Amino acid sequence: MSKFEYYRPKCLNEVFKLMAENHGYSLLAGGTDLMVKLKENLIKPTAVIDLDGLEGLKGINLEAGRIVLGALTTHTRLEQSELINRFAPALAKAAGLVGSPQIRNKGTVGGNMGNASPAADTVPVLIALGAEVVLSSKEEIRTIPLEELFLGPGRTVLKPGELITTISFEVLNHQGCSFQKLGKRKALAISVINASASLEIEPETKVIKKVRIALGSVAATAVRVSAGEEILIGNYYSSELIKKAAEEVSKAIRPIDDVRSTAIYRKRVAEVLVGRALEEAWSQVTCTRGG
Amino acid sequence: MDVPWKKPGAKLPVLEGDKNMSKQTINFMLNSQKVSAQVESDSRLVDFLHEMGLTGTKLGCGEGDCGACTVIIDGQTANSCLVLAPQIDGKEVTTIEGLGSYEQLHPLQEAFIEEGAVQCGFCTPGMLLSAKALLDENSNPKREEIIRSISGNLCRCTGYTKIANAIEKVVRSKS
Repeated sequence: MSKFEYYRPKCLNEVFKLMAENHGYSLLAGGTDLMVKLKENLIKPTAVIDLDGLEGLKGINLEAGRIVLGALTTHTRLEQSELINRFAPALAKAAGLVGSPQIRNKGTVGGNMGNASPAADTVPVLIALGAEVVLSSKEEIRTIPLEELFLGPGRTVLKPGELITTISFEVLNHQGCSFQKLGKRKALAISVINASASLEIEPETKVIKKVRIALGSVAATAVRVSAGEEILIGNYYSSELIKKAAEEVSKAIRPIDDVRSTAIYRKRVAEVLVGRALEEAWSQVTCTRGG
Repeated sequence: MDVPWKKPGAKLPVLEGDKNMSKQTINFMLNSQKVSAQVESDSRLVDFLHEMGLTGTKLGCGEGDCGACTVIIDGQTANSCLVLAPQIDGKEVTTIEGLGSYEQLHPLQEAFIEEGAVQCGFCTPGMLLSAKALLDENSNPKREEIIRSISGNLCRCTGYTKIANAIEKVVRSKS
C-alpha cells in the first residue's frame, strides 16, 4: 500500500476543498473495492478522503413522489428499508445479493456506482427504475440519467472534484420491477450476468406502456437493451411475447469471454434471465401496492 | 497467554512507532475499553489489531472474500482487512477477545465446542462474531437466517452444518 494522508471531513464543502488541494485523491465510501485496489497497488492516491462523516448522504427518503437515496446508503440499509421494500422490492433484492453481510454492511450504493464495475448488482435495477444521479462539485450540481454515468469498467463521467451525492427514481403506481442474478455461488459471488426489467401498464387496458430492460456483465458497462423493450411496448403481456423479447435481448447483446464466464454462455443465459426478469416484473405490477 | 485487556483496570498499549510516518491519534472503544492510539494513516484495522497483541482476528485473503478477519464495528460485522485503522476513530469495535473470557466462555463459544463446530479453527473467530452480530439483532433467527449470517465466512473444514447447529443450539437454549 502506498503512503497517503487520511481525511474524514464532516461536510461537503470540506470534501470539495480536500479534493481541490489533493489532486491524487481517492474517495472512500464503504471501502470494499477501494481497499482491494490499494492492497494490490492498482491505485496510489496521495490522499484518501473518507466520506463516512457526511451523515446527510446516508438515508432513504420519499420526496414528492420520488425515492431519494443518499449515495452513502449501505446495501444492508437498502435491503432492510421499509420504503425500498414497499416501493422498489427489486432494489432491496439486488442489494441483498451483493457480496456478503460484511460487504453489504460497508458497501454503499454510490460507491457501487463510482466503482463502475459492469457486474454491479444495484445498477441494472436502478437503470430499470429510471434512476437519475446527482453529481456535485464546488462549481455545479448536475443531474444525469444513471446509464450516462458509466464510460467503461472503472470509468465514469465524474470530473476531478466531483462526487455522486444522491440517486433518485420516480415511484409509479402501475409499474413492476425485478432483479435476476446468476453467480457461481449463492453468496460472495460476483455476477456472471444480472438482469432487471421494469414494466409499466395502462391501468384500464393493461397494455404495456413503458419497459426498461437492463443487464450487467454483458458489456463494458451496464446496458439497456431497447431491442427487447420495443417488442413489448403497446402490447398485452403474454408468455409468447416475453419469450420473443428475451430472444431479441440475447441477439442484441455482445458479451465477452472473461475470468467469470464466456460470451456464448452469457448470451444463452441472458435469454433465460431476461425472461424471468420480465415474468417477475409482471407479477409485481399485477399485485396491488400502497402509495 | 497473558491477555492484558482481560485484567480489571489493565491499560492497552499505546503504539509509538516511527515518528516520521504520517500518524494520527484515534480514540475508540475496543472490547468495552477506551483506547487512544497512534496509527499510520495507511494501516489496516486487522494489522493494527495484531500490533496491539490482539491476534485472535485472523487474516485470510485480505480482500473481503473469506471473512476470517471479521470484527463487529458499531454493531455490524465488517472485514477488518477492508477497514483503515483511522476509520475506527470514534467507533466501537468488538473482536474475538471481547467475546467471553478464559474463565467464562460466551454461550456461542461453548456451543461451538459442544457441537464440534471447530476443526482447524481459522474461520472460528469470524464465525463467532458473525453469529454474535446476528443474535444481538435477532434473538430468535430461523435456520435460513443463521446460514445467511455466516455466508460471508468461509470454512473449508466443517461444511458449515455443525457451525449452524451450534448457533441454533444457543438460540434454542435462550427461547
